Amino acid sequence: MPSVNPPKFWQRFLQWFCDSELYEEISGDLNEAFRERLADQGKNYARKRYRLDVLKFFKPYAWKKLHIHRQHSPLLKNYFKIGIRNILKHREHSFLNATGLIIGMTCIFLSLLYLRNELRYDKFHGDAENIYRVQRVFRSQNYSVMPFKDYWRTTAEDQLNYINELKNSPQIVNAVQFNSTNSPTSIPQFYIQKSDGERLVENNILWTNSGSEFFAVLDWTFVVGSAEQALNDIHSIVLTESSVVKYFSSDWKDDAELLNRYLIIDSVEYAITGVIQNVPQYSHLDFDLIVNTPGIPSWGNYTYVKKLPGVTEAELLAEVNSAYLRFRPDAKDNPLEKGLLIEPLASIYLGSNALYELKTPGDPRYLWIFGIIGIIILVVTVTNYFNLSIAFYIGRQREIGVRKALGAMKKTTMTQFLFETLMFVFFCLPISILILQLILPVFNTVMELQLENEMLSDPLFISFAVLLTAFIGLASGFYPSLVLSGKNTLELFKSKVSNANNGLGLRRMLVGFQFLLLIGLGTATYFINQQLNFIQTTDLGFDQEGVISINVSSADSYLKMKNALATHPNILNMGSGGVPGNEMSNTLTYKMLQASDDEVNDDGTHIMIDAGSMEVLGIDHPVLKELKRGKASVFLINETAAEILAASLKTKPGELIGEVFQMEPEYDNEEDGTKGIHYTIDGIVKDYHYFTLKEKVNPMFIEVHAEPTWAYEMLFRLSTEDLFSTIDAIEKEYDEWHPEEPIQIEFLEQRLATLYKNEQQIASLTIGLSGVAIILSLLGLIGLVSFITKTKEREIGVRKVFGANLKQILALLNREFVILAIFATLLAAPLSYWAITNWLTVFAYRIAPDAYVYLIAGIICIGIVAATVTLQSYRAAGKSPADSLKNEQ
Amino acid sequence: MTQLGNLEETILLLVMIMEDEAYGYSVSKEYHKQNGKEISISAVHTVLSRLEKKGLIKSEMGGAIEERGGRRKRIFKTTDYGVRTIQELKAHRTRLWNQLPQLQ
Repeated sequence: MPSVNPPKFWQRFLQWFCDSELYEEISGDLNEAFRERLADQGKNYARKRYRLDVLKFFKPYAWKKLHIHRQHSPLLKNYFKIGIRNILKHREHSFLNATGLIIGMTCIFLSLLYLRNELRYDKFHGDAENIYRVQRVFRSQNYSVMPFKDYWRTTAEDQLNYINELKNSPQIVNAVQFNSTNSPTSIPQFYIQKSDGERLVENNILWTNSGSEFFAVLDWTFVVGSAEQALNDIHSIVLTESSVVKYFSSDWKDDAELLNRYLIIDSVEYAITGVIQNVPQYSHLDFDLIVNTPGIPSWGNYTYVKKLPGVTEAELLAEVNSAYLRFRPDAKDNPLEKGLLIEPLASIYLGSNALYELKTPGDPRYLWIFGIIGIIILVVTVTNYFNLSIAFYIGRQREIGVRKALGAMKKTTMTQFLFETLMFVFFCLPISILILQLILPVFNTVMELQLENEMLSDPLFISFAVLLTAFIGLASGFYPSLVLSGKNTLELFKSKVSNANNGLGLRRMLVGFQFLLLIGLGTATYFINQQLNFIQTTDLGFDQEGVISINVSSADSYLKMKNALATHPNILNMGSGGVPGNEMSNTLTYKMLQASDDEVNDDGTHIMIDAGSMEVLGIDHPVLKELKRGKASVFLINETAAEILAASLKTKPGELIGEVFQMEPEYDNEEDGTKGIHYTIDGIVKDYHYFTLKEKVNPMFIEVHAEPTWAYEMLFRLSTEDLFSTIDAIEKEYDEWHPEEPIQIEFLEQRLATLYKNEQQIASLTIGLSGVAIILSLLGLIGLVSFITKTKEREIGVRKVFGANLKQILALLNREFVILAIFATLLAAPLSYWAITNWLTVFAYRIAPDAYVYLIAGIICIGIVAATVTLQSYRAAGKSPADSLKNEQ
Repeated sequence: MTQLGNLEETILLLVMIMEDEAYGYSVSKEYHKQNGKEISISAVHTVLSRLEKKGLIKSEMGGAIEERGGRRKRIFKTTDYGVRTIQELKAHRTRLWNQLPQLQ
C-alpha cells in the first residue's frame, strides 16, 4: 500500500469548513481521485489536483450549515401546543402574569414617550446648535426679555437698534427679535378683523419686526409660500394651519387667492404671506400667527442670534455684550446692569431660569423622577414575571422529566422553555401597545401634551420595544430553563424544589424587594398628596373667594367703571392694582435713609395698589383710614421688610414708623442731588403671599393710593348671588369704555391655581405611575405568596398529622413574610424620606413628613401579605391531611 | 415540468447511463470520458445535489472502499419523475429538430 497521502493541511481545511453531512462523500471522492491520479501521474500531480479540488469545494453548497431547524422544526409546533395548553391550564396564574406584564410594559413605553418629548424641545430648527437666545442680568435676576431703548415709547426705527448692532458683528450670521401675546411683557389680546368685517379675539400672536429674516433664524415648515418671501411686506402675516381655518375657511388649501388676502389689526391691513404647519408642542414658543409690524407692541423683545459655526460660545458671549454696549453705552456705568448671557436654543426649555418666559419651562428634576419611576416599573415588571414564572416552572418538573426520559437533550428543553416564554411575552407586547394607544389621549389631556404613539411609527421605539420584550422573556425564561433542564432526570421526578433553599433565597430577595417598592412608593405618594393639599388650603393672607380681576386701559377708564358700577348690589368692593398670584418678578433695591451704603438689599418688591384693592383683598391696617380722610397715599411695609430694615439700623421694627427709606438708592436725582426715591414708612402689615408658596415671602413695599394715577387691572369682590349676571354687567360696562380691547376676566382662585399647574400635573402623574407600580408589586406579591403557600400543602398536612393546630400553622406561614416586610420597611423608610424631602425643597412652605406614616405603611403591607397568606393557607390548613398528602405533586 | 439546464441534463443522463455506479467522482470521470472535457468534482456534486432537490434523482449511502479511506459514497439513481422528465425533454427536442429537415 502506498504511504503517500493527500496533503494534510488541505484535508484538515476541508474538514473544517465542510458540512458534517456532506463531508463523508466529498472527502471520499477526493481521496479516490487522489489515489487514481497518484497511480496515473505521480505524487506531485495528485497532490496538486487535490489542493485544487478542495479549493473548488469551498462554496456555499458545502459549507457548514445550522442544522437547528432541521432538528427542531417538528418540535416547534409541539412547543407551541404545549405552551398554549399550559397557559390555559393555569388560567388565573397566566392572567395575573399577563396583566402585570402588560401594565408594566405600557407604563414603560409611556414614560419613554414622555421623556423623549421633553428632551426634544426646539431641536427641530435647522442649525439649532448655532442658535442662541440673549438674556439680560439686571439687579440680581436673569431676564429673557431685552428692553427697547425707550421702552414703550421707542420709535419703530429705534426698536431695531440692538438687532442691527448684532447683525453688524462678524461672528453673527443673523439676529431676530419678537414678542408674543403670551408674554407677561406684552398686551395679551387683540381684535383681528376679517375682510368681511367680523372681529375675532386673538390671544396667540407672535409680533416681530425682523421680516422674513425671522425665518432665517427660526425655521418652520411652510405649507403655502416660502421662507424667503414670507413677511416681506412691512405689514404682513404668516398663519398656521389652525388659524387659517379660523380666519378664512376650512378649504383654504383650494384658495388660489390666499396670498392676496389680508386681515385688519388696529385699522391697519396686514397681507397674508404664507401658511406654516402648526407649532409643535415641543417648542418653547407657541403662536397661531406671526405678524410682522414696524413697531412691536411691547417695551421689550426676545432676541435670538445665529452664530457662525466656527465661533465659540465665549466669543459669541463677548460679542453680544459689546454689541449691547455700542447700542447702550450708559449700561456700562449702571451698577444694576450686570451684563448679558447667551443660552443655546435647545437648553431653553429645560435649563432656563429667567423671568418672563413664554412657556413655563420644564423641570429637569421631573425628568429624573420619570426616569426613575420608569426604571422601577421595569424592575418590578421583570421581577414579578420572573417570580411567577419560576414558581410556575417548578410545577412542571414531571413534564420535563418525561421529556428527558423520552430522549430530549438539555438543549431542546432549554429551547422549549425559552420559546414558551418568548411566545408569552410577545403575545403581551401588541396588547400593551394597543392599550398605550387607548390611554394616550387621556394622558395628553391631563398633561396638556400632544404625544403621539411613536411605538407604532418610530423604528427606534419599535426596536426598543422588541428588544425589551425579548429581554424580559429571556431574562425570566433563562433561569428556569437552565436550571431545570440541567437537572438529572431522576431528580425531576422526585424532589419538590420549592423547599430547596437555593430557589427560595433568590425569591426571598425578590419578594423583599417588592415590599420595599410598595412601602417606598406608597409613602411617597401619600406625602406628595399631602403637600398638594397643603398648598391649596394654606391661608395666603388675603381673601380669595369671589374675587375677580379684569384688565383696564387706564386710571381714567377704571374710575369711570368704578363710578358706574358703584351701585351694583352684588359688587361688594372694587379696586385697582396689587393683584396677587404672580410668578416672582422684578426686585427692588432699598435701604433706610439713615443706614450706611452697604446696607443695601436688592430683594424687595414694590406693590402699587389702591385703597379699594386693599378692601377687596381684606388686608387691613389702621393707617388706611387716613386715605379716606384725604391723604393721597400711605406707605406700608411687610413684617419681613421691617425686620431687615430694623436690623440695618440696629433697632426694633416698631421704631421704623415715621422713618424714611430709599428705593433704588443707586439712582441719582439730578435736580436735588439726592439718591433714590424717598418714602416715609407709615405702617407695618402682616406678611402675605403675593407670590407663590414656592418662595419665602420677601420684603414688600406697598404703596397704597386713595385713587390710582395709573391702572392696568381692576379687582372686584362679588357676592356669590347671581354671579354670572354680575359679570355680565361688568362686561357691558367694560365694553363701553374699551371698544378696541377684548375683556379678560379671571377668578383669583383660578389664577392662583395656575401657578402650581406644573407641580399639579407632575404630581398627578407621579401619583398615577406610583399607583401602577404599587398595583404591580401587589399583584406580584399576591401571586407569589399564593403559589408558595400552595406548594406547602404537603408540609401543612404533615404538621397537622403531628398535632399542630390551625393557629400554629398560620403563624408559621406568616412568619417568613412578616420578617421580610419588617426588613423592607426599615430599608425603604430612609430612602423614601430622603426622596420626599428633596422634592419638598421646591416649596418654601411645606409639610414636614411624619415618621409614623412609615410605620403605618409597613403595618398595612404586612397586613396585606398576612391576609393573602392566611386566605390561601386556610384552605390548605383546613384540608384533612389525608387529602393533602395524597397528591404526590 | 421543471426546466433543466444543459449541464443538469447531461449529468442526469449520465446518472441514468451509469445505473448503480453514479456518484460524484465516477460521474465526473464519465463526463470526461464521454465529452472529452474535464469537469471538477465540486461542480458535479453541486449539480447532483440540485437534481436531487428537484426530485429527479434520489440518493443512498453505500460502498465504502479502501481507496476512499473507508468513507462511503453517495450513490444516485433516477426517480420515476426523473425518467419521465428526461423523456418529455427528448420528445420536445425531437419535435423541434423534426421541423428542420435540412439538418437531419
